[in-house]
Amino acid sequence: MQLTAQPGSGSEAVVSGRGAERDAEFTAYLAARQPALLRTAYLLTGDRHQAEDVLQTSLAKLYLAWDRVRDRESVDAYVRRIMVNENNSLWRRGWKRRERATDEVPEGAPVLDRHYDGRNDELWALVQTLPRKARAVLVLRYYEEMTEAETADVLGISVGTVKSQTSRALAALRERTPATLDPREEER
Amino acid sequence: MSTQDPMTDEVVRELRHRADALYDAPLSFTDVRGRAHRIRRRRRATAAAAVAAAVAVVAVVPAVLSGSLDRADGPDPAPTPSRAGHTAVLHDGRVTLPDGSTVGVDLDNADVTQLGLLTDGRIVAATSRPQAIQVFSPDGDLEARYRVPVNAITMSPDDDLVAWADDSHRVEVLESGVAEPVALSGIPLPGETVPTIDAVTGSDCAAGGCTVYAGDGTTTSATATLDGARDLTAVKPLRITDVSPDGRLWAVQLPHAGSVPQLPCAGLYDPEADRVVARNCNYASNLDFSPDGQYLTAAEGDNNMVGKVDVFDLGLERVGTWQPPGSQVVSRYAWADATHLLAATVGLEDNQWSLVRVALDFGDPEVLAGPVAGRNPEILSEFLPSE
Repeated sequence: MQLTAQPGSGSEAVVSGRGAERDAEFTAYLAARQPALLRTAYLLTGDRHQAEDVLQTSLAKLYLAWDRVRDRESVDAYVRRIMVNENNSLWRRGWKRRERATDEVPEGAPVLDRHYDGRNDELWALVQTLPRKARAVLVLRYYEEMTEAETADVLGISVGTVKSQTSRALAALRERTPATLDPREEER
Repeated sequence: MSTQDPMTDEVVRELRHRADALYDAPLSFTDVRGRAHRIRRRRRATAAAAVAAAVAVVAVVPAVLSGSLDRADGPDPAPTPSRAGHTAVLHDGRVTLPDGSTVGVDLDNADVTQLGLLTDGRIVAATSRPQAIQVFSPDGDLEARYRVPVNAITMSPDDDLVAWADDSHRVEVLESGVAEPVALSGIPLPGETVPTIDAVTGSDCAAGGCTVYAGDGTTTSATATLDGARDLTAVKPLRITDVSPDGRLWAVQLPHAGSVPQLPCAGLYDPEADRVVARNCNYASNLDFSPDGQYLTAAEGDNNMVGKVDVFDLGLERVGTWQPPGSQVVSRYAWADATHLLAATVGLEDNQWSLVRVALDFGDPEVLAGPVAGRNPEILSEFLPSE
């Protein structure tokens, strides 16, 4: 169905019924999924403001592609893929900052939501020292609880790479974790 | 989710605690739509600028090189990852980038054996005079020059990495977004053999995330990472010629099992399953994946030129062949995008050079630049596409 304005009123006056339907669908998706997607974006970026920025751009790209995402079941996976790419692109655009993986925990605490109780800040800061792609693997595997195959699909890498990146990221965390924070110490 | 590993469990708990503290929805539909409109305007402006550049410049490659303008709406929802066309072309001291813009570089095509374009915009050239790997900034300024025993580079499938062997026979990997290359272990080869780098994959090389596959030029025999070099374990001897954009398939050369033993077979190898999933022993060599990983090119070179370019599907069945007309030959070729080839052609009798774009229906090619008078194709290519 297409509702067309009177002739001569200009192309901007053409109102598409399908467009309104599409916007309503998208708004419903936004309301239902935004909090969960924001959480994923926050874990990917480690920063609340950057998370909102990445999420807004990702949702905007989803909006532009909404008609092409036929399978509504796969929309979340599609947005996650955009978020991961967007997060990596943000980093690439700022490459002259020469960001590198480091063994040193950065100074200063990341931006925390006011309701968070501050538990285990050190471990969170260590997670921030991981390369972004490794952090994305951890977030998708252990927070989103995706399988290795699903994670590989979202990241556009092989299952073998997911396995090796997961293993390497956890090994790096173990290596960098101070003894007082190491869960293995508590077990002894 | 319990993993029976204390550290993993602790990470899972920490991620959940961090995430669960966020529960709001800060963005309205208007916010999202507003940014969508800005993205759309920016894309249109980019497309318009690219088209204008293509129209205005005479001896310059048009913006349609990459085909990426058609894909500007972000990643497709299809599950197979796709690499956007990322081919640049060096001609007459200028590099034409995928968006149609050009960058002046202090390079003569006669001195350049290979060209690479990293995703951060840096241009990497393997040169014979001087024998070096030269890295140029996105603006065309020379940033670094590395002496090498062999002037050859290998790009990763996503163009995030470029690798070469250095003077000490170690492997150097320069990563997009990182200023300096990371040195990986040397590849142990007999005598003074310089390793031939067949593929480089991964990311975050400084953290040990990259792998280089190398050998003696006939067989890929070892891998190198930050942790050291290891023998490559594969079901049979092979040489990697390309890696698919998603990393799941390798295009390889295999020893010939048929009646013409001096000619190798081409194959597609699944490294996870450790098996050859497709094979063609009928003159399919130097396979190179298309940006979407659905097709491969192959060509037999002779005297720095090829007569025709074959295109194969993932079953290694030939889907078509392109051959320039008359006495022209192909000097270099590359994928422009998932459905088009770029080819530098030259007339053997008149050294008239052109750059053409060929659709996979193999109809009449679109001439992007030329014909222009040039030099001997036996020793150089006047239009040199990036790897």
